[in-house]
Amino acid sequence: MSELGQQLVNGLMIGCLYALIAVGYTMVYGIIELINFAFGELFMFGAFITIMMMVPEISLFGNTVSMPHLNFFLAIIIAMAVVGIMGVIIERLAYRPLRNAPRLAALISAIGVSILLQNVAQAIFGSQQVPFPDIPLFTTAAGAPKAFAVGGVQITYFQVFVVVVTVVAMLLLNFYVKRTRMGRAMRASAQDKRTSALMGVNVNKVIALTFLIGSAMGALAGGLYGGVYHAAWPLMGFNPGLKAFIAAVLGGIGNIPGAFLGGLLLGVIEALGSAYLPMGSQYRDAIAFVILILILSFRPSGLLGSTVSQKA
Amino acid sequence: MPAAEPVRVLETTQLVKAFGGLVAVNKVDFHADENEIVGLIGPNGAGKTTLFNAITGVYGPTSGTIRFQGREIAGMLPSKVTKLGVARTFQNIRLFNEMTALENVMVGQHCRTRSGVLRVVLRTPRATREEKGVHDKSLALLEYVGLGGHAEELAKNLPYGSQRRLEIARAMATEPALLFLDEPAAGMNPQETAALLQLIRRIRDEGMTIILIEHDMKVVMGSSDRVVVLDHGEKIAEGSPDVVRSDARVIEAYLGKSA
Amino acid sequence: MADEGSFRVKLNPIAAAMVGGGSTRSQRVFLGVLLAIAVILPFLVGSNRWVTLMTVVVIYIVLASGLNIVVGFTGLLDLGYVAFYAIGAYYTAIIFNMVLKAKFGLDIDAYWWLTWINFVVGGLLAALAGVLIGYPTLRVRGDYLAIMTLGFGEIIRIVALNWVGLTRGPSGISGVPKPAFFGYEFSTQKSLYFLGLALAIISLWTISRIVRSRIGRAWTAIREDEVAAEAMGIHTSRYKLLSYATGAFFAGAMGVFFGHYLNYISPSSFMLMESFLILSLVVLGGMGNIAGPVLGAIVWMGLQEWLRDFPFVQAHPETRGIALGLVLVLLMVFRPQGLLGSLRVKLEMKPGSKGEAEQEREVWSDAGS
Repeated sequence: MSELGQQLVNGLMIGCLYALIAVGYTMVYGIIELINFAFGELFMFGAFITIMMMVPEISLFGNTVSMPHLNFFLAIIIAMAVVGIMGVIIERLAYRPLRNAPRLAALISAIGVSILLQNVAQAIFGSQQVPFPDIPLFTTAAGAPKAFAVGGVQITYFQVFVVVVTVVAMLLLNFYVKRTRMGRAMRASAQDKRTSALMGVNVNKVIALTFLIGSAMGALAGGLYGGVYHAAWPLMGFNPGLKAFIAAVLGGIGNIPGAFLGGLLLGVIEALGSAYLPMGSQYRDAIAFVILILILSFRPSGLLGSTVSQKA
Repeated sequence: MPAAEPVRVLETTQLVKAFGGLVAVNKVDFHADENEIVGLIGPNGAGKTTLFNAITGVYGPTSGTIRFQGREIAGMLPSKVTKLGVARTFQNIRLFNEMTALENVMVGQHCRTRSGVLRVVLRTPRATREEKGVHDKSLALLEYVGLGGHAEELAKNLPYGSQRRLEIARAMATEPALLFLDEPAAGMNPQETAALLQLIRRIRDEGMTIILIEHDMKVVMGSSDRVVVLDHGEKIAEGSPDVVRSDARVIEAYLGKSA
Repeated sequence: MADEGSFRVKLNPIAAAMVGGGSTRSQRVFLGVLLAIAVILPFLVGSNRWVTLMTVVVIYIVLASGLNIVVGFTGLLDLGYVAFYAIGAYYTAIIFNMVLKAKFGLDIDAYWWLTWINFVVGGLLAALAGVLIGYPTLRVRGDYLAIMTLGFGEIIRIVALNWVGLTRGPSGISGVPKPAFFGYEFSTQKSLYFLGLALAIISLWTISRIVRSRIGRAWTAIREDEVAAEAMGIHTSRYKLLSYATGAFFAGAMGVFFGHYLNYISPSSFMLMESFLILSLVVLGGMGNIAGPVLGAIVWMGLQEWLRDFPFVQAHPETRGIALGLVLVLLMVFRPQGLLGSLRVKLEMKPGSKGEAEQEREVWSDAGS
């Protein structure tokens, strides 16, 4: 029983990380109908920049450079800001020119950005894993993660922190989108860009803001992920990025609570599947894809999405 | 001597098409007899194109029957309906933009040809013969609608009026018995409209049955043998153009909308 | 823009050779020249390195051409194409190594004739996979289709990696025999290159014929406007599946060649990045254009080979990835029609007798972008 509990806890936590990235995907897709493949890489940069801010020195482009050596919380906020801006720049350069082009062109551009970022990271940080420094608040003097046990299930403080941060972020985002003027503008633009523009909404600004928030969320997930798994590496974003997109589809693309739900569900199903299915852990990644195929075949609008006709 | 019973080419019975809560076509009984030109009119949003789409298979009807040449076709795939002999044009012109005018029309001939991958690769005599036939027929159709000189131009580069005529040629390439035209005169100037009218009459004179959605009353009145009026998804009037034009309900439906 | 003009002049004849309607004399001349280069060059260059490079180019030419059918002509963004390549390679490796040798203890050299059959069977197996993978994507929108096909590609790779009983997992399968024909063994680099070249010529010839027929027209119609295509009597589902199957067939056949060429295969040859690379070749050369993938493969592989000589690139392998990513983005933003641009394939079989001058004019005219 405690085994099941343990799996649920782990799944929930990774699900939170998926959810944070999924939110970015769902918001961007909702507004410009583009799968921003690069979110996985923005997640990765979030992890790396968090590390960069936290360590006293780091090897960049093969040279050792001294670094601010800040605490975790400051580091991750800086990472969110920097990556958020990266996202805005990427949108401006690689996606905005293609807004009226056929879908295929924007998708291919997104793939290009993803490949580019992966390799740039490799150029900067090298291809090996870079260790994530221990966070004093969550680590015991002996170097182990602080944890407590509930009915035979080990839960680390940091895992709780991840869940709390995710929930808070989701609530804040939901509030922002539902209650503020800018949030309304975002929802309107997602519904109908042309009419919104006619109503005086600066659609370009809205889209830039969407990318800013989505990328920042991805960076947050990256920093947290680094904290959980104690490392970052240039190719780390690809897998979670893909899964986060699947989570967004699962929950209902364009739907923010859906992204949250989808992320959590995917995390839990993955954890349970890898623990209980025969050869589950090896086929772990395949689970997400199977879910995608099932969802798109039977309920393409996702769990929380409205049943809108798929074809134009 | 009693007149010969007209052959009923198309008949819908109590046809309903609903999208969730919105009933776009509400229990419509609609028919077209052989060689008729039927005009389908009504204010915007009356459900005319939806009716077209339901009959041609783009949507499956919610309930009711659709019989084409006596055969039930409700729910069939559009390609199947076309193979049976129903063709259409689109309200918003849906040409294959990166293909030439000739290629567009040749696509229409697709369902009347049969060469598969193997025959095509080996260029069997039959495949070559078929292809030549398609090529010649398509060229002839282009000339029929007056686009013979534009065969090698890309569809997207044709002027608007020519594009509409190209769509008609393409639809005719499927060798239909029934032709649906969805606002074929939209956006045309008076000369183009007159030429279009001539074309439609000519097509009908050669044996086609035509159902026509149009807002341009000159076209409708000038070509239709019978006019059907829809409003809010329901049939509110039917009859010869003169009868319909003076029908009180029809006038109200149109005038009432512009209030 | 003088440069633009001369650039077009240089490329047009190459493209014209493969793209234009019937064959004008200049088109035939250029095709002949290209073929001559392909045949003579291996004898002129000294080292095996160039022959190996040319073999790789030839493989990618076929792969890109196959993907071009799905992406370029039919408009379906397949991101898992490498899976079909893997199926062909694994099929032949498994048959020879695991079944004949390991299970039945037979002398695989005596089964040389099986290799030739495997080209077709491997292709057909891949085609079947194409249909299976394509089926769930039929009712799904373009972007989702891309992710779904990506997922399938990954699933196949994960299975290859983990079904150790069938595929020997990460260690891969070795000992696939070199192709042999009535005693002649294709063991040298040159002989393998010519075999690959022959396969490529056959493949391109076949693809060209299929595309320039009612089938190619149906595919392009689907790409241009699926609703209209369906309304014109094209059973779009069936033709989409045919597109997947046809594209997959060539990947599978080439996979069989790959298996015998390398005589060792492992899942690491079939990563997702390969699918992206093949897509890039199609995009670079020009989608929906028969010559496009050929040009894309030659240009990109040539570029890579040239870059490899720079010590900076040797020390920093990620520069290739950066170049690839940049090329994709820049292409899409500035020249989405690829190198060959708007030169289009005539979608007709033997468009009837036309004057040579008229055909030349057709091929050279920029149909607007």
